[in-house]
Amino acid sequence: MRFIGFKLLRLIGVVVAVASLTFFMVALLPGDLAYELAGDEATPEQIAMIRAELGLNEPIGWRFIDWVGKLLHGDLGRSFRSDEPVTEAILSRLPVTLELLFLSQVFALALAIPAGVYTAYRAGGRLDRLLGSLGFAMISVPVFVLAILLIYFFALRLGVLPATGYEPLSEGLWANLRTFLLPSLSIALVEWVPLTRILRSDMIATLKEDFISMAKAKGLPPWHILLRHALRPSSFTLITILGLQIGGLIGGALIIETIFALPGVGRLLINAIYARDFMIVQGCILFIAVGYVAVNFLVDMLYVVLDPRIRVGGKGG
Amino acid sequence: MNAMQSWRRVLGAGVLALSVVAAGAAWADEPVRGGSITVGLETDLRGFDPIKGRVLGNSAATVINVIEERLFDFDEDGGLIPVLATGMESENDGMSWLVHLREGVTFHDGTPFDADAVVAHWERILSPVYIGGLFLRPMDRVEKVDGHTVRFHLKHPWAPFVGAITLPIGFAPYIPSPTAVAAETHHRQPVGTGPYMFKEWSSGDRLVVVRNPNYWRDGPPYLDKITFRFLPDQQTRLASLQSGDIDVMWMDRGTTIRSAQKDEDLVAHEAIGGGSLIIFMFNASKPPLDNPLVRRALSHAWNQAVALRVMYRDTQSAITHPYGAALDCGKAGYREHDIAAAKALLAEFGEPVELEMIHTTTPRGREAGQMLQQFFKRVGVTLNLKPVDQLQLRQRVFTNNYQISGWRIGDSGDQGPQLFGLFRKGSPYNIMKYNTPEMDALLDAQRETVDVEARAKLMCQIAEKINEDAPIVYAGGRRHYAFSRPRLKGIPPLTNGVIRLGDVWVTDGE
Repeated sequence: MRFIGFKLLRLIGVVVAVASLTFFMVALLPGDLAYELAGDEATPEQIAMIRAELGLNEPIGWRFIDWVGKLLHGDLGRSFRSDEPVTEAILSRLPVTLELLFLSQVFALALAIPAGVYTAYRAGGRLDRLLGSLGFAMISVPVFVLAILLIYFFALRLGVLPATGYEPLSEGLWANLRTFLLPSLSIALVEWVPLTRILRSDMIATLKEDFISMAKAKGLPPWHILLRHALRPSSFTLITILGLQIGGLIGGALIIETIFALPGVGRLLINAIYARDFMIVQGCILFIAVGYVAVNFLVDMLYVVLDPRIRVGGKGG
Repeated sequence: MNAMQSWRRVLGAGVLALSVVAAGAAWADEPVRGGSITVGLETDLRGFDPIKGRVLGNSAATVINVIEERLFDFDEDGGLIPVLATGMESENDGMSWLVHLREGVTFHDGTPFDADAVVAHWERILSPVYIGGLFLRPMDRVEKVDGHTVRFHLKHPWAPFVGAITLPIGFAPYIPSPTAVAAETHHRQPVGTGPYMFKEWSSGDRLVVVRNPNYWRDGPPYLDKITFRFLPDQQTRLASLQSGDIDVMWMDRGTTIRSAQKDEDLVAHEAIGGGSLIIFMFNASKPPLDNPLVRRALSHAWNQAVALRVMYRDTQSAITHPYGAALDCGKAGYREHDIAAAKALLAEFGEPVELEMIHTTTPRGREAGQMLQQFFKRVGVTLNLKPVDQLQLRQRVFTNNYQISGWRIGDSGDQGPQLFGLFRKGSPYNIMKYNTPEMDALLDAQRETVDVEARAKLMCQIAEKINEDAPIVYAGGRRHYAFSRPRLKGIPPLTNGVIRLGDVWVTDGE
């Protein structure tokens, strides 16, 4: 319990720090939003009116207190531009980001686990060397280049998958999945590489342990030893990296969502930054920070499940 | 109506956008009913209420154009087409306009379209809380005459009136349902009288409209549904068009336009608009730019032809005035690239010139700044570049805290009101602080002159005065581009960059 309490306390601290920093960084940015919102035809009086309407004339400390007060009531404010409630804007995009996150990690793990286990089992073999070279090649390619290549082959040359866009699940499972295949693969084809390398490395170490020798002595088949005995103790670092990757994707894969025109949280944030829609920017960053620390908290909890020694020792991470 | 048509032919730069590509061939085909299309838009929308939305961009104009309607539209020759109005006449020597409204039209929510709806809308537009009203200042009020007649009262005879109530790129001409506006739902669920009705808007993703079964015109709408998708990246948008995910898109980047032009599976739509995509403003209140000799020297140092090749891959044309194809002012005294002339003017000025230019941190902003810097260097002028955020740039420009800045002249149909705002003493939009008694007189005269030939002459004199005193230099004109799939038919010529989709159909509709 002490372990969980400590982690929870840290989680709250991080969120408070991020919320405060975000607010002040955005508020102290040079330039006056009112001039941007007003367009070219506004008079000085109308610009003053916009400033008053947005509360930009209030002292920054008061604006922060006001924002935090509303935040505690679950109100992240409204978009300066479209008047859409920020919470609504984020929640409406969350399913897209979560689906992208889920599918990309499924693809990455589907590639990484078999490859990691096999290359550890046959370390130094031909396939190990081949996958190692392939992995380094793939991780060297920027994700946006990979995305454009996938669009070129699958959408423009073969015409089997859409280049951009998003279809909600209500339009049918296949229609929905078609729009996520290329974006998910773009992420997975880069992310499987570190996962594979880490799993391989940890697994090689595990396979040298006494209990593995014992299992071999018992005459257990290799797949049984690899999957039932070696995989679980070798997956700590894998889960940590996976947690970091998922945490990163909570904010949406910004580039991927933009290239494939997926209306996720990342694209909302990017568009809000370009449009100087600071209420949306603040809301998104806060949401992403909460998501990031929450995933890491869950990863820490997963350690407890995987290794009871952490639970008993009460120290971790 | 003939007088108004000829006004537009002479003065409505964007209105008169000249279609130069044979996309019109598709117009001759017989419309087919049914089917749907997807339109790729560059940006998400701010909303549809003029007061909350404040500014109607190109993307929003394309959407609002199928949901809400204007009193008049115009054909490819700039002639007026009655839409929600059936006709209008000028009264009291141009001091007011009597507009007859169409009967039997209802908004999508069942509210009848009548004089009350028009008056309610224009009262909001002319109120101080509407931000976009600067160029509409000569309009005084709108009065209900009877159920289907309204009278627009002007503060003085005002030639751009017709453009002000028809321009497809602004909020003002589109008449919304007064019921939806009063209920404060119109901003995110717009209600108009147009051929398509709003269905859903998922911010950042799409906006969907469906056929209006009770539309008042015979024929359109032909499609069952139009989906507008927001695809900010222009390359991605083009890939979507090429793969058939979208049917039509607007574009402004030279490289993308050139790629699309090479694709034989796409139909090009191209039109010359008014204004200028980029201008460089010389702040006439900041020394040494307060001296016309310096401004004239800098104008000669600038090379528009080279800039167009580098920045736009020659997809935009060189201009000598901001009226596009609407007016032929000839060279209008344009200062051509002439290093010797620039050096001579600087020698006459007699002091070393060092200036600062603010520009946005975008690649386009940086590129423009660096190009200006190189051209100025050749005539011995030092230009220090100061990259700033877009917000800072706008604030510094509007608070007169800059020497040189990039800006633009919008394609606002009749350019008169915009030039009046930019160059008239006392205007809040006189952002380069250039104004002279001669220019003020010309601007005042064009505003109130209703004779077509006389006004055209005045507009050309304004262009000549701009070139003579050089408060700005042009980095190119404005040519609008859109590309569509061959299945999409009936797109009228682009006007002010707006793709009007109300009457389109698809060949595979049935």
